[in-house]
Amino acid sequence: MAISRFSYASMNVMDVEAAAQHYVHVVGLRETDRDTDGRVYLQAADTQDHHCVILNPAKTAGVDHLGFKVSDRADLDEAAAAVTAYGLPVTRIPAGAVKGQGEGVRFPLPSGQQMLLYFHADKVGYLTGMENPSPVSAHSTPGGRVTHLDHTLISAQNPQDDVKFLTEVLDFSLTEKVIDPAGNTLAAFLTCSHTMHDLAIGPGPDGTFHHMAFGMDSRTEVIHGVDLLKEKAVPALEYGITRHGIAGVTTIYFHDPSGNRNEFYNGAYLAPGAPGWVPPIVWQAEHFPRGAFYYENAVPEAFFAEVT
Amino acid sequence: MQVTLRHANQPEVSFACEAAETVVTAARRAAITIHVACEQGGCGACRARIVAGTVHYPLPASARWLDEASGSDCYALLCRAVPTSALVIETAHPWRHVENSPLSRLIGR
Ligand code: FES
Repeated sequence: MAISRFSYASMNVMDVEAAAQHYVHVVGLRETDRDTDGRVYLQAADTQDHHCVILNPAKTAGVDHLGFKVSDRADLDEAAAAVTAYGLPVTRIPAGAVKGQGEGVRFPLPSGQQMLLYFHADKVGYLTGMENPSPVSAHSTPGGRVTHLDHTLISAQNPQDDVKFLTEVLDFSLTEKVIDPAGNTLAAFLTCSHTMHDLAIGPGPDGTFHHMAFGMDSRTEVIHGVDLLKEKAVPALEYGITRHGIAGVTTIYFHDPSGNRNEFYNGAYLAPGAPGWVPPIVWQAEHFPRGAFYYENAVPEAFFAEVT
Repeated sequence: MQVTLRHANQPEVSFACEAAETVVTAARRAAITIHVACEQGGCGACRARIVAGTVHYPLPASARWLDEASGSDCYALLCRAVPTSALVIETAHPWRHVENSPLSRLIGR
C-alpha cells in the first residue's frame, strides 16, 4: 500500500463566506472552485491539485473528512480490502462525488474521524503557472505566504488504537510519541510521506479535530504571518510565535471564523524510509510541556481541551 | 443588560453588557477574563449554562454545543452570545480577575 501524502481537509463551517474570506485573506490560499451545494474549494500556492481545503456549509464546526492520496489506482482496492479485513466499514465514493477528484475509498479511523483515499485529482497548477514561471509571484497572495497544507492533528480517547491501525493496515510510520509512566501512548506523530508527520493523534474526545497546519518556507515567513494575524485581529493562541520541542518547528495557532484551529509553521525535519524503518523519538509525559511548547515549557489549558 | 456569573467556589460577579456586545467582551471591559479558546463559536471552551435570561447570536455558533448537546438544560456560547435580557450564567471554568493597575483600569482591561 502506498499512501503518498495528506492532501486535504474537508471542513464544516457555520458561515462559508466568512470562512472563504479567512482562508484567502488570512491563510493565503486561492479559491479554486465552488459547487452547487455551496461548498468552496481552495488550494495553496505550491500545490497543483484542485484543493487542499474544502469548506462545507454546516451547523457545527469540525472536520467532515481527511483526504489522503495514494500513488496507484490499484492501492484503492488493496486499502478497501485491508480496512474491511480489519473490521472497519468501507464506503466506495464514485468519481466526482468530491468535486475535482476521482473515485475514492472512505472509512472511519478507530477514533471515528473519516479518512478518504483517492488517486486522481484535477489539476489547477501552481500559483506561478506551469510554463516559464517566475518564482516570485507565489508570494503575491493577500494572506500568509503559505506553500502547502502540511499535516493535521486529530483527537482520540485511545490514541494507541489509531496508531495500531495506521501502522499495521495503512503502512504509516511512527516518528515521535508521548508516553505516560505505564507506557500508554498519549500522543503520536505519523508519516506516510517524507516529512516527520502527515497525521498526528492527540489526547481528547473521539471524532474531533484539533488543527491543520499550513507550511511556510522560512521562520521569517511565520513572523510575517503573525504580523498579519495581529493586524487583522484574528483570535490566536496566547503563546504568540513559539517553537514545539517535538520536531523543533516554529509555530503559531489561530482560529478560522467557525473556531477550527489553524497553524502557520516552518521547519519540520524529514523522516524518509520504508514503513517502520525509522525508530520513533519517545517523550516521557513529564517532558511533554517542553515537547509541546519549547519556549514556555508549558501547555496552555485550552490547547488540548478545546477541539471542534 | 446586567450579566451575573456564577461558578462553584467563586464569589458571584455582575457587570453591564451593552447592546450588541457579547458576554465575553463585556466581561473583559469589567476586567474579568472568561475562559475561551477559539472566540469564534466553534470549540465550546466558553460553553456555560443559562440559569436565567435569554441570549441571541448575531454571528453563528456551533450547534454541537447548543441544541445538540443541551439536554434539558439551556446552554450558551459566551464568546458569541449577546444578552436579550438580564442574564444569570453558571460557567464551566473559573474566570480570572485582571489586575487593576490605574492604566489597565483606564484602558478597560
Ligand atoms: S471560545 Fe470557542 S466557542 Fe467560545
